Amino acid sequence: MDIKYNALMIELDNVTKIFKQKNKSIYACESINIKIGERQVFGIIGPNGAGKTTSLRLISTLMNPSLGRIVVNGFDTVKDKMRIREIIGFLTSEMRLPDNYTPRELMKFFGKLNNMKNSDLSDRIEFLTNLLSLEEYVDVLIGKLSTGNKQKTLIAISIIHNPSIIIFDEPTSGLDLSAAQSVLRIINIMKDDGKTIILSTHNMTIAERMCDRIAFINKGKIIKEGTIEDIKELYRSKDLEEIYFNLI
Amino acid sequence: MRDTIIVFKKELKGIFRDKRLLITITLVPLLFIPTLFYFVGQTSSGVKYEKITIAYKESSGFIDLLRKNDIELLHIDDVNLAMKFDAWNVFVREDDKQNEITVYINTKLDNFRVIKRRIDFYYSEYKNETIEKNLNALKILPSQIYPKKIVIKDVTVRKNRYSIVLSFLLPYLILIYLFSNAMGVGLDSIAGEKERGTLQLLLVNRIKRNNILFGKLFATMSVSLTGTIFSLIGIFIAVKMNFMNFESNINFIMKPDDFLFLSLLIISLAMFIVSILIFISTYSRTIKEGQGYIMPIYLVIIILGISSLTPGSSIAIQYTHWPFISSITGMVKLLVGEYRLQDIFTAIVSNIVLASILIRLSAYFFNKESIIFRK
Repeated sequence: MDIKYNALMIELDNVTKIFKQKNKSIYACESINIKIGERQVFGIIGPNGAGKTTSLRLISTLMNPSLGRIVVNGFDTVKDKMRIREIIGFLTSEMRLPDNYTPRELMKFFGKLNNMKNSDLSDRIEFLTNLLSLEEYVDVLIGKLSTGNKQKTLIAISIIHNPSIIIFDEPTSGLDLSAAQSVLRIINIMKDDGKTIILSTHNMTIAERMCDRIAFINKGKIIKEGTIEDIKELYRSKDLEEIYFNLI
Repeated sequence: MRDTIIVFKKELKGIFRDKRLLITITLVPLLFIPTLFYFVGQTSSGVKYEKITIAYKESSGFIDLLRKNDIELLHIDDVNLAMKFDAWNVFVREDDKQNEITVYINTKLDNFRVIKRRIDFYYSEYKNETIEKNLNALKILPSQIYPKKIVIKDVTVRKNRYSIVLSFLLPYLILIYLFSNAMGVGLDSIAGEKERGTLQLLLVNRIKRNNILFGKLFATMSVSLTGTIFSLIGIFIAVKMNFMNFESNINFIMKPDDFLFLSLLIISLAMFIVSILIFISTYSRTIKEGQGYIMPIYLVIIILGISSLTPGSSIAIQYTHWPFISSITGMVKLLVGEYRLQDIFTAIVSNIVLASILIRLSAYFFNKESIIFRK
């Protein structure tokens, strides 16, 4: 994988996304400017419908911006989709795996799609299986797995090709406490491994625990962006939730 | 191509792991079709040998002819009693003064049409006999009255009439099987992935949209063709065992060339049908929505199929180059053994071209955010 060295990994430059609905223009994202550095964990914080998922879909090339430009590792998300797709792993809380495959089969499938060699793929499957504690379940049909193990499988699939950028949309949504904890542990491991991670959540505790920088988003607009310490200091509060509600 | 094969293999593994689907496309037609043929055969043989009892008051030439043909006759003197139709199907009354034979029949009877046809048949025989007898009495030869008879002799070697009936029925059944076997899998292939949210997982990978579509198209085609092959085996078993109670054996031996063209035509038709399903599946948000679009198309195909399978029907002749009709008529001609290579070639090429257009449109939909993320 040819990744150019660039301290600035992701840049959203004045990005606006407009959806047309019955002759009405809905601004899902409006004039968003974000810069995310390499090896950073960046949190996009906001309630449901604030524009988090749309922002992540824009970064991951699933959608094109209506206005503005997004550059990921030096590549334009509109012009160089394939180059960007090689280096990102994407996971949303909406994803549900098909029941009639095993985690190993799905990992193999997505690995092959990403041009991985058979030997590398086998090693990677073994590594992820151990990392996610899926040893017992890797050959069990998805339909028979618990919600937590299904989520772990989704994570494994999204990072099977060892991407340098990982985009997780509400990764702990719908999980019980123990499953959520193990997902957060995995994100921490990936952070230590030097990955650039974008995390969307409405959970302030997770944001505080995981992120280096955060952006508060509301009604499609970024209302504040910075490091958690800077934001807390600026608003003289230790409670991120309180700061957020004061801002909106 | 490599990515298409990867998607194809994965899809096929998932599809054939579904035991219910596997039973539906393999065991069910093998058991259901012979059973259906058996019951249809039993019912039709029941109709064929149905006994007719005819009540009459006065004996006459017509009644004598019926007697000669082993029709059960019942003499009843009381006209009022004869009209009650208790143990007989028809009451025949002859009036010499009016020169009329009145046939009373109860049209509420289930088999009244069969009975009426048989009465008509015997009457025509009676009429010819009477005319001939009268002409003889007048010493006139029938050839002096009637113009010359026309006799048409077919010089082609034809299959027996049951084979021809089946030649017209089979293409229609093949069309229905191809469609119904692929319907569930085809709709699930993309609309199902949208519902589960896994389509995003696929789209965010470095794979071209066309490769995803072709992978899914070939996997769905495999299901469609597998189900159809098993259905045809079911029909073959039923025909070989003569479950339909045909009076003679059906000879379905095809020349290798005809069989090759028939196979190519079926494969191209499967491709066209599956591409319709993939197109609808790509557009639909959910499987349920897709079913809503597909049902009217399915009904149109059934109607077109029924209309074009009737020998010499106006639809089959006027719209012979239309999609589906060209394939059905092509299959009929191949099965009967009388076809023009040009027609078969046109049907195959048009199926492939239409399938390619639909796949192109599906790929276009794949790149349209308003379709992929439609709420």
